[in-house]
Amino acid sequence: MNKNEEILSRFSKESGYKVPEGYFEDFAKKMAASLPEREIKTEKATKWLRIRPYVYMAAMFAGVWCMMYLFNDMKGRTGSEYGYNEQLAEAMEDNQVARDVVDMSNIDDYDILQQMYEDNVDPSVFGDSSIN
Amino acid sequence: MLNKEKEEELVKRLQNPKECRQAFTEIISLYSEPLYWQIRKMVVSHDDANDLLQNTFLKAWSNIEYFRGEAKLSTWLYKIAINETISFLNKERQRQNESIDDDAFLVASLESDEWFDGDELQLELQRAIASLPEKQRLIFNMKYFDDMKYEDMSEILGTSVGALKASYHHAVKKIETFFKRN
Repeated sequence: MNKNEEILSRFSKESGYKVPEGYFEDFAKKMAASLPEREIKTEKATKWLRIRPYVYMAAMFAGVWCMMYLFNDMKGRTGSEYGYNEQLAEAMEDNQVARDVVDMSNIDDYDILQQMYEDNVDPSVFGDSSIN
Repeated sequence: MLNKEKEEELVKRLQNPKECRQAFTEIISLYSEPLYWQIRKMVVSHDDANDLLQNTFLKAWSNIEYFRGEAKLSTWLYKIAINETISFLNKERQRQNESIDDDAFLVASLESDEWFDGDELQLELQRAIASLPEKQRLIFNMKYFDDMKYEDMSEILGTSVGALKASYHHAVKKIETFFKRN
């Protein structure tokens, strides 16, 4: 036992405080009686609450459908840019434009004929001596 | 202190709106005495301790939906009681222009208090305890009078076990110095 404990050992563990007779029993009774009422929160089952899950589900399906629609639409538009372009088709009807395009790129007659044979196009239908 | 099974059962009933009130009434019966003594040793006066104990249970009752059983029920109640006590002491010190490091004014009239029947030595010990800073006083009371485990004290006060041990050691040394001087 050290010095500090020696000093404290002179005292009992009783603090010397006391309470009125039957205080704790009375306190518990009075306290329980004075507790305010608590509101029990219950949600009233309204029409909206009943149909709410179905509305959420319908909205989810509509969202998925919209996403798929937009995705397909974008895919179609991307294909059409290269598949058919009115301005390009009109310009390519002029043989001079086609020749200028060929001249500007490093494509010679042999490359063009080879591509036409690969695409099963008969070069004679064009009736242009320069590429026959 | 309750055993684990009883505490779990009480917490379950607290969360059931139909059984909540009855469960809380049981809690009042179980914890009013230990909480009262904890408060009383800090504020000294029986009437003040009685008011603070009522406030503690009212606060616990109005916040019962926030208690989900993550902490022990006793820890939660002790925390509320200690917060109430500290707020009360701060107001009292402000009212009487006293410093936080010396609550001697609390025991000034202890001799004539009808709810104190301690002998001269017990009165001297209360004076020595009142001379401690607030937190040390709280720790000393929990350890010396209630023999509370440091782990439980750590949960209630939010202080590490090491710091609590050091604080208790300092409190005991100060009490020894107090008795040497007097």
